[in-house]
Amino acid sequence: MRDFLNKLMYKYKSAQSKIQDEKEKKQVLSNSLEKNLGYFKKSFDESADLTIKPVKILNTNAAIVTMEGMINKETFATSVMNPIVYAFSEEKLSSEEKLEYIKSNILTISEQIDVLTFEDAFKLVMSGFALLLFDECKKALAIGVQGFNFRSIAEPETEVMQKGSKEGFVEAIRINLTLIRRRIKNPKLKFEFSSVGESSKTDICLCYINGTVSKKILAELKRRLAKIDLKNVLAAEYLMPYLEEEGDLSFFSGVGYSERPDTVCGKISEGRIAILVDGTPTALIVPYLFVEYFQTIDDYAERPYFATLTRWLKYLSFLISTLLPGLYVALAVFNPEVFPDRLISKIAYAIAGTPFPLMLETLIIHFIYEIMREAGLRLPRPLGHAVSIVGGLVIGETAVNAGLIGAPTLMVVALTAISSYVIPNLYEPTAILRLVFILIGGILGIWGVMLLFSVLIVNICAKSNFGIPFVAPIAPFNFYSMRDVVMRAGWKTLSKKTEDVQNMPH
Amino acid sequence: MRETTITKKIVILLELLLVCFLCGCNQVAGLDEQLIVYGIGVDKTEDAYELTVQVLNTQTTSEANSQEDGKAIINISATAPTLIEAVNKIENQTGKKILYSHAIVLIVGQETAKSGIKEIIRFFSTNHKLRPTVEVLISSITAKDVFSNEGNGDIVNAEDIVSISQIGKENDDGINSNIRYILSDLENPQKAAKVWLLEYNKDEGKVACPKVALFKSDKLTDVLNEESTKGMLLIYKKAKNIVDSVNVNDAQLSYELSKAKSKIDVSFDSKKPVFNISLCADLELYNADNLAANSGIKLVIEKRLAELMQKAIDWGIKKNGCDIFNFCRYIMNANPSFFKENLANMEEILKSADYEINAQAKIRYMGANQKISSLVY
Amino acid sequence: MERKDMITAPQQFSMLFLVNIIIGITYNLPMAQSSNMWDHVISAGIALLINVGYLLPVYKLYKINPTMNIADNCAVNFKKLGTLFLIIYGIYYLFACCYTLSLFNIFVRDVVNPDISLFMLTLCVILAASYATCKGIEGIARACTIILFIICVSIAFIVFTLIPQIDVMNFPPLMFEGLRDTLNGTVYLASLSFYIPLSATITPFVKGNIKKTLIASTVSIYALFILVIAVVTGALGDYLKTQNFPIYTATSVAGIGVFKRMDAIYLGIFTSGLFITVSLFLFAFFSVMKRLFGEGKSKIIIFLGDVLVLVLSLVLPVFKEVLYFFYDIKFVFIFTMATAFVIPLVILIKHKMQIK
Repeated sequence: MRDFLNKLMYKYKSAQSKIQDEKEKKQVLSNSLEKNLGYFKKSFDESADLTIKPVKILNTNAAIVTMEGMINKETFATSVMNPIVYAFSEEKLSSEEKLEYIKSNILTISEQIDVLTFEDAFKLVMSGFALLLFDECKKALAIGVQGFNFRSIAEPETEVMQKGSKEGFVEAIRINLTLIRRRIKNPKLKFEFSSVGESSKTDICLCYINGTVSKKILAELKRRLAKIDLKNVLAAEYLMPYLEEEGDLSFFSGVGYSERPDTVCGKISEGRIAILVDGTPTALIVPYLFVEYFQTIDDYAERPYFATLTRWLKYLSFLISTLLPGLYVALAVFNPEVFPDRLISKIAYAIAGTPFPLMLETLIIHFIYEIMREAGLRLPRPLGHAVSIVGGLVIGETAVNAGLIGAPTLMVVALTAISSYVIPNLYEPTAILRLVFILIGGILGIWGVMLLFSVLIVNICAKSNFGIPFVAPIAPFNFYSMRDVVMRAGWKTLSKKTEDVQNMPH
Repeated sequence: MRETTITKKIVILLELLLVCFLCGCNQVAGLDEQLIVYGIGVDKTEDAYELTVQVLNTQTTSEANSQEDGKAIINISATAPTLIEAVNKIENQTGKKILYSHAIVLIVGQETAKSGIKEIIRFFSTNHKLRPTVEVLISSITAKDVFSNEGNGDIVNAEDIVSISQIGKENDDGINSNIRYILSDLENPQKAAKVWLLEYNKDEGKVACPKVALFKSDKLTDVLNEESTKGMLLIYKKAKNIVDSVNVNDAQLSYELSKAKSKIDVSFDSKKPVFNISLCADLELYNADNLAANSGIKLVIEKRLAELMQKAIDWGIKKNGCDIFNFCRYIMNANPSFFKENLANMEEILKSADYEINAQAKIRYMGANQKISSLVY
Repeated sequence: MERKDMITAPQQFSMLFLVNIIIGITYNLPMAQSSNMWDHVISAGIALLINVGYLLPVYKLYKINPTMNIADNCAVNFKKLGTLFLIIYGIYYLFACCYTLSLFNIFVRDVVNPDISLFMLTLCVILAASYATCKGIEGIARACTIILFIICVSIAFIVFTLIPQIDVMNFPPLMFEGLRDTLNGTVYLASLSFYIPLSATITPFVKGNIKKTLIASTVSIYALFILVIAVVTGALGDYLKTQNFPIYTATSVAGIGVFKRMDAIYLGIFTSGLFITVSLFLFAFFSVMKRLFGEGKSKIIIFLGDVLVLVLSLVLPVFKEVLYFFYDIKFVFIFTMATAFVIPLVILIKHKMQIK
């Protein structure tokens, strides 16, 4: 009862504070500069990075509010401070007229926004604008002097390609927009800004080509974005579950992501929508199909024969990384007759020489591998090599020599691990599935493995995102689309007809 | 309330998982708890079966170590009144279950085969893990002795034994003596089974497969001699790599059949079947350095080939009444009503049938002095 | 009764085709009461014609009202009799599930893998099938095309590895032992036409040319059957007389290179098909129950249906007396004919009379 009352109280308080916050947000600027600055100080709780510089402009008290580190100081000094401090007018102007005068005649910066509410003021100041406030004026002027430091454009480490552009997205959203615009010089390419995150107010930008994009999908995307109730959005991936169908428990995501502007541009031109999130060098892509996990920019830069081979290698790698350990356990435990004569002796020697049952042994090696992978990812690079040595030599060779683990099992896990890196975007689902397949293979044998595989197929096939079947164009089948699924046809064939995502069979 | 539901769900899920683990893993023996069998040998004494299995020795830690520590394969034997008891004895001796999935050869002693092989074949074929392609061989000595090679005390690898019997495979499955075909032959009352005979040479301590054993019903009745075996291979499907020699003008000439194809037609002459067997053979004549191609040699060789085939028919059908050539099936396909009417006395009909045999040979003269034209027939 | 066009005609084709392949895998001579498999080539031809006849009322009913499945037709055209028909269909779909699963269980227990826990296997198949049913016909249909592709590839492998083993002498003269084998084979094959009552339920979900799809699936099913009979008879000959399940035997001798025994892999692949088959029949059962009891109660009925299928498929292989009745081809033939042909025909006649 007491718990219940406490909970009720907590809920009431949080609701009240939300209402209060909402009220404050909508609050308009006051006539008094002192009050406005006081409100700023109070709201930011005298945060160290809030800089308020009182100045006298045209004989009126004024102040410039900025955030430390968010502005380009040189631009601020030369294009804002210098002109406005020395501004002069013979006419007798009211404060609001002075603001207009400064805006129209003194400042040379093109990006200037009139601000009436504190909500807008906070947002702009925190986005790197300089806010000019006048005494006895209910309006403020936000001047675009953004100039924070950001990582330079470089090739994304997670999507390294042999051919194609070496540029990758950076954390600053506007830089990312230019990277896209530079590749699609089409006036129909539209960037639409909005913000998500109740507290973080993170800028997001929808990028699509008008006329190519499906209006239905766009409207649905906007509806889903509006429903996001996250407090903070610190990475683009936070939004992914909100962009999936409701109640979707699939292992695979119907939302793609890329750090490469060329990949994103390719997707946009096929009718998809990219969502750029400020502070993240990743663009989300919707709707995303299963076959797209196997397509990379390199495929389209190579000769079709080789590209087709690599495409098939990727499919094979996916199957190996998901099924191989499970199949190995299932066959070795239940159906050893499948192994060739010469191979069975190697496996039998290995199993006879190790202390654990095969299923457990495979699981142990998998866990060790995952631990090493995780350690390798988080450690500084020089130490990463040490992990490789420990993993490769100590755990691999020594454990086999000591008879703790079998060489064939280690070989299977190693092959699985390498295969899973061929399709890095699918690493997460395959890592989980692999463990499930090992368990089911050890319990139910090949029957269980195939059954689970079928369930997985149904799971993927039943999935749709934004009304587009996830496994299109395989099921529902579209023969024409096979030119970029079963094979990678030459550009002369591919360019004959662009396939927009909304036209996939469904 | 909601938390309780979630807890309940988790408990149910865990219970289900537990059930899965408990139910799935019962009865399943790992590879380390099984004897991987490569070869099976069966001998029958007066009142008991002696079962010998050649198995992988997993007691050694690895194949490499097995060279020093012990043998990679070992033979295990057990004697019991029935085969199932013998299997049970071996399993009790070793504490491991027998895994037949990789068995490649089943050897039955000649004396055992005389009292019938159906029971033995059926016993092993009902094991779901056993391949239907296991090679069945009859050995002139006991099966146990074949595996253990009494001559020098070494173990004869089952793989080597199968390689020796591969002559059958070289003959394009001329004689299929694997479990599947033997069972087919045993199931067909008109047809006789035929199995390669493994002969053991005591002096050299080696085994060879030069002859074929004939079965009537499921009992070994006779063994074809080498000439009849060649003749049988010529008639039965397509023969390859048969080496033979003929005497021409007091000189012994050797030849090897590179390709031979027989065609069997059956016609009926006043209710008596007449088999027309024609053979087309491509052969290579060796030591033909100073021989000119002539029709005389060709005729002698053709006559020899026909003679070999006639000998096979005489030995198999006329002497033993064993339809090793599937002639009954030819009668059945050519004249079903005749076949149905005479189903009971097919053996007599085959014995009294006429066999018209003719052979045609294309000879390549092999030798350093041969002209190119003669090399191409 | 408004139905969305959820699946395409090729998907319907793949579902009907797959169902018959899976039922065909457990094809066996003892159940067909026949000793000569080769005669079943003629039986397949006759069964094809019978099935085309069976399809007519189902197709006509679809043409009259493309949005109504057989359950709707039963309920709309009849009142009390309609309920009886619905119950018959419900039992038939459950029977089809049990028949397929229990035969598969016997198959696994006797010839493939006696070590495996049948309870676990059946439970997993039913759970997986129920999951697929919950995902809806769209998911099943799409998965079906992928699984059918895998199964067709494996069948092609089996056929190509067996073709070199074919011996012309293994083919006996047709109808060598009279008409009995052929007739029994015809009844047996016609009794396995579970796909027709199934198509009566799923056809309203389909967009595309239904007529062509139904004919194409029927012809393909029997063409494949004739091909398999020819290859298996030619390759295995008299060896078949010692084997209960010819198709399994074919997989056990169809080795590739050093891989001498691939049957476990092939049968694993066929398990995927079994899962789709069971989920389709469960879906059909669900559709009938929905019509009979409404959406809410039908979920409980579905659960009970699942339990019933689980129990029956596990119990059936144990009790021989029940087994003989359950697998009696005359019983199955009559039951299939009633649901595939008689009831749709009765509904059709009633409908025509109402119009008059």
